Amino acid sequence: MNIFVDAIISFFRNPPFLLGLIAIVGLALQKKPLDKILKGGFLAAFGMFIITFGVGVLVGAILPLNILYQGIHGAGDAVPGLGEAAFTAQYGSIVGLAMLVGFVIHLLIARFTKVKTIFLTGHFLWWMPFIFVAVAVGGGITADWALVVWGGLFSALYWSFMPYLLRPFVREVIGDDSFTLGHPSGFLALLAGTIAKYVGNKENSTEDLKLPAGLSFFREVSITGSIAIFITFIVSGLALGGFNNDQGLITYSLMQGLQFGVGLIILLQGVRMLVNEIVPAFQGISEKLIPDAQPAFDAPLLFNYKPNALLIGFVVAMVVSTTLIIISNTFSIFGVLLIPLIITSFFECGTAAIIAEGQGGVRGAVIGTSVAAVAMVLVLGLSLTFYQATIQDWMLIFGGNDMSLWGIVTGFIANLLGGLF
Amino acid sequence: MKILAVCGFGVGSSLILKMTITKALKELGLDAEVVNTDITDAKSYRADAIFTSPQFVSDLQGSAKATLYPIHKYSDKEEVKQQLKTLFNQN
Repeated sequence: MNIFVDAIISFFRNPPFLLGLIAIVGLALQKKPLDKILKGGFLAAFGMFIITFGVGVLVGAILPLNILYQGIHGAGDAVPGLGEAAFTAQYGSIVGLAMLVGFVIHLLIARFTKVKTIFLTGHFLWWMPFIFVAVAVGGGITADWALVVWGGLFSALYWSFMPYLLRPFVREVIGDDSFTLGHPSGFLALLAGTIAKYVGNKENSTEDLKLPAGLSFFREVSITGSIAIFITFIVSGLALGGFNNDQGLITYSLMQGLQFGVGLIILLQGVRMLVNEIVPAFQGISEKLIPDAQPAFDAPLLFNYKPNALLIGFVVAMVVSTTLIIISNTFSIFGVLLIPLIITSFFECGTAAIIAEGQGGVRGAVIGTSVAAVAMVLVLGLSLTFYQATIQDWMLIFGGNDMSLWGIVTGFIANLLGGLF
Repeated sequence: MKILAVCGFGVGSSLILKMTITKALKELGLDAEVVNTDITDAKSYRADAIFTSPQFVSDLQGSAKATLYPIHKYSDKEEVKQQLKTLFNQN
């Protein structure tokens, strides 16, 4: 009997199998035809697999930067901690269980309290338990059941309350209550929006501006990302003494830059596939159980409302945060080499800019996003210790948002409780 | 009748539009196949009608063979219903 249970658990240790199963259960509960159920299961599994593959490519692209930096400032060639791939291999099933437990708690909150937001941003249904479990492991919590309960509980609280707090700000952007925002931009958007309300001027909208056509080039994050990483490699190579290879700095940097772009494209494709299967499944379940639920959607749902604000936000965030990152790296403030936060500047700060614009127009968007960009770098840097044992490599690329902020908060708690469980 | 829902940021927001179109079709008692994709894939897709955000209409104008229907708010059932009525009246 024990062998049977172990076999099942090790099967679902892999995120693709787990997500595939969840899609199948969700579709089956909605009484979809068998072929649709199986198709959904496969596509969800493919999507999750593609995501982890894309993350691997991204991490691999920037890894030489970490190694170079560690070689000069730290101990040898090693990047600290398990790393994202090893962490997922070891704790994948726990994250998966935490996700299920968390979603059940999340539905209970929506059913029995006035906080009726339902988090439907598919990929963050995985990433939130992922980071919470990582922090717990780093803090010294070891019992499987404790990790699952921890991951589930904090994920549920996050999924319910962050979108709930964002409602008035989102309403100002979209004009009604049809949905709210379910995305780790959370605190950055709240920060930018609150500042924009006081220093901004709602009369002047970003959408009235005629932006130069060339600026829309930045909307292709994969291209901007490639260029930014290319520049980072060149600068780091020149400043820190070159990389270990026979290709020449420019060629090498170009390859790493392109690889970063590729990783991003692969990641987004996987996200799209996963979301396509998981979101209808979860929405179907929650619609049956919580009639007056308000969905919380992914950030890009807001992009269409204020596309100029998005671009302005991205550019402002990149300039402010990269300046801070250069300063931080030069003076080794956080003890770890920070890389330009391209993805977070685009998705999170872009969203913050849109929210800020709704509160205070152009001026609000620019000032609010600048402050958010500073907060982004600070919170990323401070959170690195809490992720050191586990997914620091991943956090350097995807952090600087709610995942870093709540990593710090729950990290303190985990360190207090570590060893007890 | 094949309808394509298109978004531009690669994270699957076209799914929300697809779900709104499906709900709207059901309420209007109309029948159509609804598929969703990203703007880069949209150009090579064969469909009768494309529903997308106003900012992508010009991008798709030349390359897509289908009629384009702009939708401002992907989750707005009424706006989608209006466009669906126009689409079906013309066929």
